[in-house]
Amino acid sequence: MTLFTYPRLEIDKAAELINATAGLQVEKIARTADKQGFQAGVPPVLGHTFVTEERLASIRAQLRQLAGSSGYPHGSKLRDRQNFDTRAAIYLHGGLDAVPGELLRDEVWQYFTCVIAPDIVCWRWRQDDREPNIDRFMGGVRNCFGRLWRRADVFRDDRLSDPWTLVSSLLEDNFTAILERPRIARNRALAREVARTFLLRRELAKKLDSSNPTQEFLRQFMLRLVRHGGYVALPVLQHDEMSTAISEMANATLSAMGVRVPSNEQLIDDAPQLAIAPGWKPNATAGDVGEPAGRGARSGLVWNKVTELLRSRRRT
Amino acid sequence: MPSVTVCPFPDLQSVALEHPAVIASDWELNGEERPGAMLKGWDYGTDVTASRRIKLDVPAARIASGLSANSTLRVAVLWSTGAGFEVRELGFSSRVQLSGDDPRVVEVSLVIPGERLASTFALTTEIVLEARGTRSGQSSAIEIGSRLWSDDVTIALEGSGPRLPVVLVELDPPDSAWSLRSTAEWLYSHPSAAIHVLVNRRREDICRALLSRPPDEKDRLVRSALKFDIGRQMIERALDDQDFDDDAAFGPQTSGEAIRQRLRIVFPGLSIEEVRAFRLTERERYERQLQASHQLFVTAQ
Repeated sequence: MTLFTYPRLEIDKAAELINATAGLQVEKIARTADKQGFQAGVPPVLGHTFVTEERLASIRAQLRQLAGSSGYPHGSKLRDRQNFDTRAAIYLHGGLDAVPGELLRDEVWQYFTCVIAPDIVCWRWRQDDREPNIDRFMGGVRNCFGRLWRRADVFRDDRLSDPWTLVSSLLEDNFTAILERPRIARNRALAREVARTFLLRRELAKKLDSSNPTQEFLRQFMLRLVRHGGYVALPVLQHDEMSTAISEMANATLSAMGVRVPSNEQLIDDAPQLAIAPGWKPNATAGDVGEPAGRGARSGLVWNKVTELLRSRRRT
Repeated sequence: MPSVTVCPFPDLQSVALEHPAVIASDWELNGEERPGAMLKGWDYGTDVTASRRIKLDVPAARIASGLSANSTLRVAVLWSTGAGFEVRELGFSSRVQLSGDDPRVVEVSLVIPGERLASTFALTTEIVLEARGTRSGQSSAIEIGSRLWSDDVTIALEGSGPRLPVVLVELDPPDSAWSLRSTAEWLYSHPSAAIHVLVNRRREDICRALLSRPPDEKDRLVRSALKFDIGRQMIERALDDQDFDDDAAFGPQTSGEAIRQRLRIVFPGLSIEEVRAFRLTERERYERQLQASHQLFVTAQ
């Protein structure tokens, strides 16, 4: 499969294009974008195959089609916009055929919002006063399309029978609480397990005496995780160890808030869609062949031979 | 250099020993030793092979950590990358027993797919507790994953721009001068990737002051005001951020680490929490100290 690099839009050019949307109706912004084509970006210095204008036009059309079924270009309800978010996240994750490193760049997402589909940004995020919502255009975790791609990239979970369960189950505030914590979000395995652990306990949290009990639970849970991360390296743990450590922190959070937590088995029985699929195994990590805990020590010499053997196998 | 963290348990550097418990070689990247802060010739088609040797002096490790001989450690390497969004993945992991007296040597080797890299990448080596043996010291680490040793290095792939990019844009209201724009993850990112100084291009006087070569006295006053205000805004934003504290694991060359070091100079002897309290209770002195440290309106060349 051919992977593409995408144009990048520098911040000053992005600011110019954002200003140009001020006060315009969504349809007018769409017509202007169509008329201007795809010339504004600069190609990356380092290449694979540079994406074609036809493909960029197809992405624009696809995003408009997804938005169209949620009320675009007219006003829409919150539920419609959230439906668009979920479907657009899945599309952006699988439909761009981009070199993965490209999608980690702010300038690429600025190109998406300012050149490919500024009309959808305004439809999705503009307030009644028609002032552009700058955060949603600029790169970063709030970029209209970057945040959706990021959401899918982090929370698509191959461990579950439906990999999109987390993406379709988490609410907007839940995504924000996790994804705007870079220490958690940058480690996908960690973020997925945090989300799964939270969702397994979301119903329990509704018992809390709070105006937004589930979000309050998630906030306290994340604070506990971040504090813990100061001296425990959760991302280096084996899958089951990490899962246990995170569950214990979630349970401790709920207990501290006065909620009794049933066993993990009971939690899974209540939400079977969040069970790890039978037969799923974590990917092997280079070097992860050490002796099991409790066995006798190997000498440095033997250890060296083992690692050298593995290295030579990898070379071949 | 190993990072310094405050741990609730003794780590592998807790005791000054004649022989350090951990000796880590420099990284070798794509066959080149000590490649410096930049990897030349990278593109998306070039995978990065990273290797280093970690030597663990087992008796010294037991003494420093207080862990017993039937404990097990894990040596792991995480790689991270991003120029906006950041991803971090486990690239290498291997167990090490603390039994016996022979040194353990772990040959770390990992391959990072070039297509998944962007702009820079960082390698973080961690030695953590895998299993705590019986008869370990009472104060020794208990929790699996407790960090006993760590170091990290950041490598640029495409060169670096100015530390704080300055961009001329139209700002509202028209008479405003400048503003600071930072991404949500700015504390964990290199300043050039996460912070932009937006200068109002409608203010010709300010643009002229910033662009003039050589600057006259008025230009220098404007520049001094900009430098002070941006520095102050960065400190204020950091102090308002609950992630910003003395224990936060900011990598080298990140905004968070840079501001943390800056605060140690501006408010010597104060922890970040104490700086927050100082700002709250003695605002006037706090502001004066910021002005003095940024040499506000000191324009002598």
